[in-house]
Amino acid sequence: MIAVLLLGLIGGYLAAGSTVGAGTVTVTREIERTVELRTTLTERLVQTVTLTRELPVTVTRTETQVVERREPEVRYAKLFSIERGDGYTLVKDGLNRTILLVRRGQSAPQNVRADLVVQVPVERAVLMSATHVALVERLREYSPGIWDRVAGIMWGRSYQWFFREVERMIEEGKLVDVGAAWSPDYELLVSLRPDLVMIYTFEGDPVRSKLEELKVPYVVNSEYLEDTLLGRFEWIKFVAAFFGLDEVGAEVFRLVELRYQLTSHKVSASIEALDLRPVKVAWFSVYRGTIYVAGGLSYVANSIYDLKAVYAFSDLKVTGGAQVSLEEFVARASDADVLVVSTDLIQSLEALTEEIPQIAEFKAVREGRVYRFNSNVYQLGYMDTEGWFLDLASMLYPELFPEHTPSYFVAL
Amino acid sequence: MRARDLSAGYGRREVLTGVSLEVEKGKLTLVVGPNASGKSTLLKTLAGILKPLGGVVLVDGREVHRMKGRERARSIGAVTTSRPQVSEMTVEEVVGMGRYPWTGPFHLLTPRDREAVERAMEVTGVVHLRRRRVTELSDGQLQRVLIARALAQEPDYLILDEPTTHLDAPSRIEVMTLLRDLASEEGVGVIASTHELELALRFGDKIVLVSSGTVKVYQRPEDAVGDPEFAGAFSVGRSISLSPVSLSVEVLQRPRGDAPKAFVVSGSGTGPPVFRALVRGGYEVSAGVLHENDIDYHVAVSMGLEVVSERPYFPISEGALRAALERASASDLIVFTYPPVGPLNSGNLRLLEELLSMGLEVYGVGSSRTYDVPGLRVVGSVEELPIAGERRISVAPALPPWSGTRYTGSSPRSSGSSRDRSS
Amino acid sequence: MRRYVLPVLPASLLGSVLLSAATGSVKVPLESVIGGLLGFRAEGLAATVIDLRLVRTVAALASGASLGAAGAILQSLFRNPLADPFVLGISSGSSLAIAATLIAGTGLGLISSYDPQALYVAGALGALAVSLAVVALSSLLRSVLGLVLVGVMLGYLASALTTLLVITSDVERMRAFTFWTLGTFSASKWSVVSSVLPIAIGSLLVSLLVAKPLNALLFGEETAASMGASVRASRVGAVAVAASLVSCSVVVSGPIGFIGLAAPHAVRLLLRTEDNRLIVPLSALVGAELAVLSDVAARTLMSPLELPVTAVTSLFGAPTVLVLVMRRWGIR
Repeated sequence: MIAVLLLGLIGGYLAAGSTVGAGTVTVTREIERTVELRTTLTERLVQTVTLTRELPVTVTRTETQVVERREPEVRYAKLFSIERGDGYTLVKDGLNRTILLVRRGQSAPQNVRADLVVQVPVERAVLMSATHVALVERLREYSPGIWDRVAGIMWGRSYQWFFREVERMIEEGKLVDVGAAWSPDYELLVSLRPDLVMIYTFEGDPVRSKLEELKVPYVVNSEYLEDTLLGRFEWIKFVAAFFGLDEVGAEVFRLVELRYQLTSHKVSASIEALDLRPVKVAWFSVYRGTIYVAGGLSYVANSIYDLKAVYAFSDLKVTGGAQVSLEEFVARASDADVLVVSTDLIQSLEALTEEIPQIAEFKAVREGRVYRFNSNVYQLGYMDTEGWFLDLASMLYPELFPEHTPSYFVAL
Repeated sequence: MRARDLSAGYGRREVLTGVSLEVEKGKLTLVVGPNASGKSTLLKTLAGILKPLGGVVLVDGREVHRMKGRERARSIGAVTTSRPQVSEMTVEEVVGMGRYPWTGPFHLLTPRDREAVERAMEVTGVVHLRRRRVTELSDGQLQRVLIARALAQEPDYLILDEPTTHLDAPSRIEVMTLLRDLASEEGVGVIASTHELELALRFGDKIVLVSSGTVKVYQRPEDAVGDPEFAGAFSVGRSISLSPVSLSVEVLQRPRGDAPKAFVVSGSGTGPPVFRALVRGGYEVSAGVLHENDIDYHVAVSMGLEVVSERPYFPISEGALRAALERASASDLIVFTYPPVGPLNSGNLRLLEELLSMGLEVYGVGSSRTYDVPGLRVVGSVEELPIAGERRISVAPALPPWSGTRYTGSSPRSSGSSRDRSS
Repeated sequence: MRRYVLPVLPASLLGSVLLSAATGSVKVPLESVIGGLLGFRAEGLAATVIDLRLVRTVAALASGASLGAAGAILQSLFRNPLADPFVLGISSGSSLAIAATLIAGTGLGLISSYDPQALYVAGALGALAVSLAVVALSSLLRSVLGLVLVGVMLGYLASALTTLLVITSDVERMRAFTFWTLGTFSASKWSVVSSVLPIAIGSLLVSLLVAKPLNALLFGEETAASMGASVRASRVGAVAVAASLVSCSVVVSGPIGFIGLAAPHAVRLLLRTEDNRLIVPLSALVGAELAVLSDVAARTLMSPLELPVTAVTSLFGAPTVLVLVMRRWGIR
C-alpha cells in the first residue's frame, strides 16, 4: 500500500511537464501580469511581473517601465496647469478651478468634468489687471487683431497707462473702462456681455462673489503670487490659450526662457572666469518710516539667486514681502553692494535719506549704486520680462553689461 | 407713607440714620436743614430712587424698595432737581409723559389717560400753556409743569426735591401755594424740601429738620420755632433768631464793643426798616417806648434790641418815659419814625420834646409822614441817616457814572457824637 | 407742519427708490424699470441691470434705515446731538470684528468666504463691545464733546487694528478693504441682503419699543425711575438694539458715516419734536432715503469709477456736524 502511494506521487510529479534529462528534472512555467501603476499629466507608468518556476525555486521578475511620457506644458508656474485632450484643453486656474476650452464650433467632449466651459478664441473678454493687459500686448505682436477680442478693462483711471495703444483705444471707446478693479461698474460689465472676465482675487473678495451671482464667466489669474520670474511670465500660456494662441504663447515663452537662461549663464560663467566677488543686494521699499522688503523666497530673491548674487534678506522664508525693523534693515543692508527701492514714489537720494537718515552711510549709497522702480515696471517691465531680468543683471554686474542702461529701473 | 428706622445714603456711605417719619395724605410736610445735610438723600430714598441702606420705607404697608417700578410709580410721584432735556416738547406732551406707568409699550394715551393729564394741568394752573414748548416757559411755569407731570401719575404721594430753589420770589410763593393746595384739596401726601425757612414755617403742616446725620419731626411749625435746636441747626454762631409770634427770621444784632449807639422812637410797623438798617450800619440799637402788643416791639425783641416797653393798652408811664430818656440821651444817634400817634403813645412826643430841649439832635425819617414835629432834622429816607464810620447802608442810592470826579456823600463824617452841631 | 411732513416722507422715499432703479450706466427704458419694480421681469440685459440696481437699492434701504434708527437711539440715549454710529466708533468696531472674522476666520477655516450670518454675529459683537465701552466711558465724561472724543478715539483704535489685520494680508485685499471701510453698495448680493433683511426689520421693530423708555430717560435717570422706567434695562436694551442695527448695516455695506447723524436731526428739524416714538421710525425712513440717494450719487458722479458712500455722505454730514458744534458753543 505505501509503495503504491509513493509510486503515484512520483508519477504525478513527473507527469507535470518535465523534460527528461539524465538525473535532473526542470519545470518551467511563466506567468506574466501587467499592471498600470498610474497615469499622470506627464507619464504613464506600467509594471510587468513575470513569474518563472524552476524547481525548486520560483523566480519573480518585475519590470517597471514608462510606456508613455509627455512633456509638462507648464514648467515653472505652480498655480495653473494646462492639459491637452482630444479636441479640447483643460486649464486649471489660480483657484484650482477646471476650465474646459473648446474651439468655437466644436462640441464639448462628453465625459469631461469642468467648472466652466469657454469657447475659444474669446470674442468679448474683460481684463481686470494691467498685468493681464501686458500679456495681451506681448501677444499682439503675433496677432495684431487681438484687441478686437477684448471688450473692456477694469481701469477706473486708477493708474497711468504705459501702453499707448491701449490708452488710445480706451479714449476712442474701442475698449470700455468698466471702473476700478475693486469696485467695477457691474451694469457696464454686464452690458458688454463678456464671454470671459479675467480677474485676480483673494479670500472674501466681494467682486468674485458678485460675478458668481451674476453668472458671469470668469477665470482667476494669479501670476503675482508666483515665486519665480519665469513662473510669473509663464502665465502668458494661460492667457494665450483663451485667445486661441496656444502655440504662439508657448513659443514666446520659450524665447523668454532662453534669454533668461543665457543671461544667467553669462553671469555665472563670467563670475567664474573673472573671479568676481559675490554681489550683495537689498530690495526694499519704505513708506512713512516703515520698511518692507522682498521675502527670501520671492521671485525677486529667486532672480537674484539665479544671477549668483546674495540677497540681504534671504533668510526671510516668505514668498511675498515682509516688514522689518530699522535696526534689522541697517544691520543687513548697510554693506549691500546694490540697493533697489521697489517703488517709484521716492524719486531722489534726498527723499530716501529723509525717510531713512542712516542710509547715507550705506556702502551702496556711497558708491552710487542705488536704483528705484521706473513707473513702467509693472506694465512694460512685465511684458518684457527678459528685459527686466537683463536690467537686474546689469545693475548687479555693470562691468559685464557696459552698454546696457536699465529701462525699468532708474538710478538715484 | 412711613419710614421706619431708615438709614439712607449712597453705596456704602451712610448720610442719615435712625430716620422714622410719616408722610400723611392731605398734609404738606416740608423738609428743611442746612446744606448737604441729606435732604435730597432722604427724599430720594422715600421715593424709591435710592435703596435704603437699612430700615424700610413703606407705602400702604408695602415696601417701596421692593415694588416694581410701574406699581411704585402709580403710588409715588417725584420731582427732582434735574432739568429735562425736552426743549422741543409741548407742555401737554411733558405732562402726558406722567402717564408712563399706566400706558402700554407705545405710550398711546387712552381717554382715561387724557382725563388725568387734563386734571393735572388744571390743578397746577398750566392748562393755558398746553401748546407752548418747554423752552418758552419761565422758571416758575416750568416748575409747575414738572409738578403736573408727576401729578399725572395720579400718585397718592408726591415727593419734591427743592422745588422752589432757582425761582424768583413770586414763583416761590406760587409753587408753595400749589403744594399746599395739592395736599389740602387733592388729598395728596406732599413732602418737599426747601431752603426757604420762612416759607416752610408758613406753609407746612409738618416740619422735618434734617441735620447732623439724623432727622427730627415737628408736628407743627410752632414746635419747630420754639425748639432752640431748630434755630441752632441753621445758624452759624447764632446770627439769626426766629420769632415765634411772627414766624419770621430776624438777624440778631451783634454789635462790636465800641459800636455807636442808636435810639429809635417808633411804633406800628414804622420801626423795623430803621432797626435793620441801623443794625447793618453797625450801630447798637435800642428802641422805645414800645407797647408790648406793637409789631415793632416783637421785631425789636427778635432782633435782640434793648427795648423800653409799656404794657399793652396802657398809656406810656412816667417810668417808661424816664427810662427811654436815659437811654436816648446816652446814644449817638436818635431817630424818630413818625408812627401814628394816639392817646396811648402820645408820651413819645413828650419824649422828643424833652430830648430836643436837652439840645440833642433828633433825626426824623419819613417821607410820607402825616404830621410834623418841630425841631427835628428831617431826612427823606433811611439811607440818608448818618452812618457810623465809613459804613454805608447797604441799599445804596444809584450812583452817577464815573466821570472822573470823586463822589462825596452828603453825609458828614461822624467821629462819634452827633451832638456836634457844627458839622 | 407735521401734517404735511408725515405723508410726504414715504412718498419721497418711493421717489428715490424709483430714481435709483432708473439711474445707471446702461440705459433702460422707464417702463421696464417700473415693471421691474412691480415684479414683472424684463428681458435679457434689462432684467440683469434692473436686478443689479434693485439689490443695491434694497441694500441701501436696509442699511440706511438701520443707521437712521440707530442714530436716533444713540442721540437720545447719550443726550448728545453729535452721536452717530460712525462718530462714536461703533461702526469701526463692527467692521473690525467683521474684518477679523473674514481674514482670520477664513484663514483658520472657521467660515467659508462671505457667510452673512457669521459676519452679522461678529459685527454685532464688535458693535456691542464698542457701544458698551462708549457707555462706560461716557459716564466719566459728561460733556457733549467729551463723548464724541471718546468715540473718535475708539474709532481710531478700531481702524488701526483693522489696518493692522489688513496690512498683514496682501496688497489687493488691502485696496479692497480700504474701499469697503468707507462703505459701498457696489458689491451688494441678494444672498447677503436677503439674510440680513429679516434681522434688520426685526431690530427696527424692537427699536419702536425702545422709544417709550428713551422718552422717559430724557427727564433724567432719577425722574425716569420714578416714572416707573427700569433705567438699566432700558439702557442695555437701547444699546443692544442700536448695536444690532449698526451691525446689519455694516454687514451689508461696510461702515457708512453721517446718515445716523443727519437723519434724526432732519426729522427733529421738520417736526419740531423730541418724542422718540416719532423720531426713531421717521429717522429710519429718512436714513433709508439718504442712503439710496447717496448710493445713486456714488455711482453716477464719477462714472465708471465708484465713490465710497461715506465720501458722498460727508458732503452733507460734515457741515451738519460743524453747525451743531457751533450752535452748542453759542456761535451763531
